[in-house]
This record gives sequence, C-alpha cells and structure tokens, in this order.
Amino acid sequence: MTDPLFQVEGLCQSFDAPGGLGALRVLDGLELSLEHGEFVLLRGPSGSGKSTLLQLLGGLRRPTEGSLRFEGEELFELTEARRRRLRAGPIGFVFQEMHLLPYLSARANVALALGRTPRREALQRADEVLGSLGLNERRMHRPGQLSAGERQRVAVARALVREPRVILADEPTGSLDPENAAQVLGLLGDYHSAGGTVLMVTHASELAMQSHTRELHLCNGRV
Amino acid sequence: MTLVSTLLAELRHRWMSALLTIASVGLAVAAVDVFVLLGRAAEMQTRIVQRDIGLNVLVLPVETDLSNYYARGHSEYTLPAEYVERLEDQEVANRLVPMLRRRVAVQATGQASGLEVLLTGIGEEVFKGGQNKKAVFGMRLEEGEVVVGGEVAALMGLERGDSLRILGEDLRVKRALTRAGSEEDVTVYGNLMTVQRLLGLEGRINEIQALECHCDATVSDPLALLRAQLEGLLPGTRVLRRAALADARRVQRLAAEQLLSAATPVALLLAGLLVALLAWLNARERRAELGLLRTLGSSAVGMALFVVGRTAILGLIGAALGTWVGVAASAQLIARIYSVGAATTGDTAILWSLGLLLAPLCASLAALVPVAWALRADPAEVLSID
Repeated sequence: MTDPLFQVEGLCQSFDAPGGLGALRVLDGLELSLEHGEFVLLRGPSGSGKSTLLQLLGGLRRPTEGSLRFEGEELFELTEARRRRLRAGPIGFVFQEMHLLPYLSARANVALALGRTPRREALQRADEVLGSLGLNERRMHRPGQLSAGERQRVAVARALVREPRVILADEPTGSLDPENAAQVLGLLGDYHSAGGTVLMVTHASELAMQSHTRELHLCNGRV
Repeated sequence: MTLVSTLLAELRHRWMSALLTIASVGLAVAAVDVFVLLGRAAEMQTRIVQRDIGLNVLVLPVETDLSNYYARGHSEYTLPAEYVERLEDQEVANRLVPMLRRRVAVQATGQASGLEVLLTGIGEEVFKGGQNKKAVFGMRLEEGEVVVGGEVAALMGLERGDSLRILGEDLRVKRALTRAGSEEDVTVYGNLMTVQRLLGLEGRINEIQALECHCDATVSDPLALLRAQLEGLLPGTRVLRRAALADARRVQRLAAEQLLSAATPVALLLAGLLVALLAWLNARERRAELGLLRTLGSSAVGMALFVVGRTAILGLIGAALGTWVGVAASAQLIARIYSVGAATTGDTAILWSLGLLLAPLCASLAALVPVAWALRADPAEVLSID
C-alpha cells in the first residue's frame, strides 16, 4: 500500500494580525488526506484559509504547527533544497494571478519551469505542451499580448510541462469568463484523466465539475 | 530555459529601465571622476602658481650666527664675491644678487647729528641662463651713488641730489625712497664696489639673495632641494629661506590638498550610496519574480545571479561609460579653466580601475539585500508582493 500523496494532521497556521491585534489563526488543527489520482475541489468562504492550505502543501509556507507529509515524508523536515526539488518536479502550481514573467514569450515562460533542461529541449517541450493546449499560434507572444484565458492556459502549461504528480491550483478560473474557465478546467480534467492529481481551490460553484472526485469545504480553519 | 537567457530577455524588455540604470551609474561615476580630476588640476595649478611666485633664499657664510643676523640685519662674516659667478649656470634661481651689508653711522653733509643705517652694497644681478632681465631693484647704481630708505630720508631730510657722508666719504643721493614699513626704511643702498671700498672689504660679500627659486611643481620640499643644490655649489655657506608670501601660498596649497583628500572619499561615498540605492530599489521591485522562481524550484544561487548579475552588468556598463565621459569632460573643463592643460588628467588608470570595480560592487552588494530577504522568506510571502 502506497503512502497518500498528502497526509495532513493537526495543521495550524497563524498570522500576525495588522495593528498589533494579536495572532490570526487561519488553519486550526486541519486534517486532510489526498490520494494519488484524485481531483479534489476545495471550497470555502473568503479568508477561510484555502490559498494558505495550498501554499503549505506546496512547501511555499512553513506551518505554525502540525504534520504535513508528502508521499510519507515530513515536508518541513526536508531541507530547503529538497523542497525546492519537489517544487521543481512532482508538485506543480497554477495561480489565479498566473505570475507569468512579462518579458518572456509564452513558450519561454513554460520552458522556464524546466530549470536546467537544455534550452533547445526545454523550448521544444514547451512548444509541444502549448500546442496540445491550442496555443501553438500564440507561443511566441508575450503575456501582455495574450488574453486572460490564454495567459491562464500558459500558466497551466507551465505546470503541466514538468509532468508533476500533483497540481495545486489556486482559483485558476477566478478571473476568467465562463468560456475560458471551461477551457482551463478541461485542461486540468485531461491531466487528471491521464493519472495526475489535482487539488483546486475554487469559488465557482456554478461550474460543471464533472471530473472531480471529491469536494472539501473549509470552514473555521478545518475541513 | 536558462537564467542567463531570461536575464537577457528581461534586459531587452525593460530596456528603458536598463538605460536609466546605466545612465544613473554613469552619472555618479562621471561626477566623481570630474570632481577628482578637477581637484587634481586645481592642486597642480596651485603648485604652479606657487612655483611661479618662487622662493627667495639667502646664501650666508656658514659661520653666521643667526640670532645676530636677525638682530643686526647682516652677517658678521663674508664670502668671496666670485661665489656668485659659480651660480651663473645653476638652474635654481631666476636671479642672484650679491650683497655686502653692514650697520654703519651716516651723516648728512653739513649736519652734526648722524644715524645708524644698514648699508647695503648691491652687486650686478646674475640671471639664470645668462638672460638679461630688469634688475630687481629697478635701477643701476654707479660708483659713488646711493639710494636711501624712507626713514633715513625723512629723518635726515635727504632728497635726490643731496650728499650723504658714509664712513668719511660723501656719496650722492640718487633717489630717496618712500616709507615702506620694512627694514628697507633704514637701509642705504649703494654700488657693491663702493660699499666694499668703504668697508675695506674689497672682493668680499656677506650675502647672496637667490630670488624666484623654482622647483618642479611635484617637489614636496623645495627648500631642502635648494639647500642641497646651493650648498653643493657653494661650500662654506648656509641657505635660509626668506619668503613669507611663498610660505602663505604653500599653506594655501596644503589646505587645498587637504580639502581634496577629505572631500574625495565623501564624493565617492555619496556616489556609491546613490548607485547602491538605485540597485536596491531595482532589486526590491523584482522580489515577486524571485518568488515565482522559487515556486518553480530555481536554486538560490541562480536566483541571486539573476538579479545581482543584472545589476552588476548594468553597473559595469554604467561605470565604463561614466568614467569615459568623466575623463573626457574633465579634460575639456580643465583646458578651459586652468592653464595646466588637459594633460593634467594624467594617468586615469586608477579611476578606470576603481570605477569598474566599485560601481558594480556597490550595486551588487545593495541588490543582494532584497535578494537575500526574498531567499530567506517563505516563497508564498515573496510571491504575494505582486
């Protein structure tokens, strides 16, 4: 029996409240298990800690308390270099803000995720992924020359190009119109169908989420 | 996709920002260079002004008791008059004046009362390189002629054409000077041969005034050099300096040098801070990019090079352009302002070296601060800066 992809126990996250009002506890003893191959939607009101949970799972933020294991390994007992390699390999991210570098073309933004892969090979793989997402014609364009939907598809391509085992997607359709949102969700669905795992934060209850396997609600810092 | 190609893409995309960074660094470096080079030229100009004023030195018999000399105004001992001829080929002083001085009592013809004066016999001036220049005293005294100081003239009621009895001989007053407020007022000048004869010291002098002594502008202690040169030519003499004005100029030059040496580090520091501030602001603005790169798993070294490398490259280009502009502008300004000429900029290798080293270094160190923060903080925190 393999370890769950993520195993979270007693996870707490506090932030210093502005104005010296003490600590703001966003996650409070959260328990969660995410298995390989799942497509899980994470819902909850604003400020309920959805994005924070994704950041913790991706090793982008250190939790205040609790245990967070990735494939059986305690994530924050690993060295920064190991966590970096996880982010460069098995864990992919898609953000609502996309975070594309404005001075790179779509293909270069995607290829950037391939780190030390030789430039020519990286660009070739980026072209392949962009082509599969219907962006072949737009691959030489910079983010400023792309529509919001195209930019988000480039961001998805950047996550997919490394063939991660899990994609942590933080409201990837939040700033898109329904048509573009459906396209992005379709891409994540395709990735899931191919065996990938997705944990996606979304507010979009009206969207038809046919491919998801589980839906979690985050409230008062717990699932 | 390498960080180098990403860096180049960023430079191409934000070319205006890159140009402004280069221009800012260049201006800072150029300002320092102009300051340093103009300061150097001003210092050189001051040296030359001082050199042109020259040092006035006295060559006295070595046995001279200085306390007695300063009290009496002359040496009790004498030198051979031909000593001055040994200095004809020297390159030190513009003019040499042999003198014989003694305190003597004088008496106006027909008057009972007398006065003690400083009788000074002035010989033919010897000019450097055999040049024929205007005599320093502005007149040539013939045998039997004297020029009387203002106080002597006033006290004794002497005018041009009067007779003055000195050591039993009547001499004709060629000119009565006005009061100068100096030793000259109680001096009676005469032809050297006349004075030698009156004093019974034919062929002897007791002082050579070496006037407008010039040294190379780079000589730090001209008096020591003069002493070495003159005492070598004239054994049995001692060389004294007699130039309050030159002293004042020298003090002025030293003050200018001290000002420059104190102000240069300040200018360097200010320029360094300006460059550092620009680099820090630029790197700070790019923390979100670092957050993204950390999210994508880039290495800390690679990310540091990504930001600091950009700063260093732009700093290097700015420093090179700034030094070039600074040196060229300084040469133009110096040529217009100072007589020392543009060549005073001299060896600018040190400016090139310091500019090319310090400007990128300052910029890189400053850029490291926000980069170090971005590398230490949680990636999520850095990413949220956007």
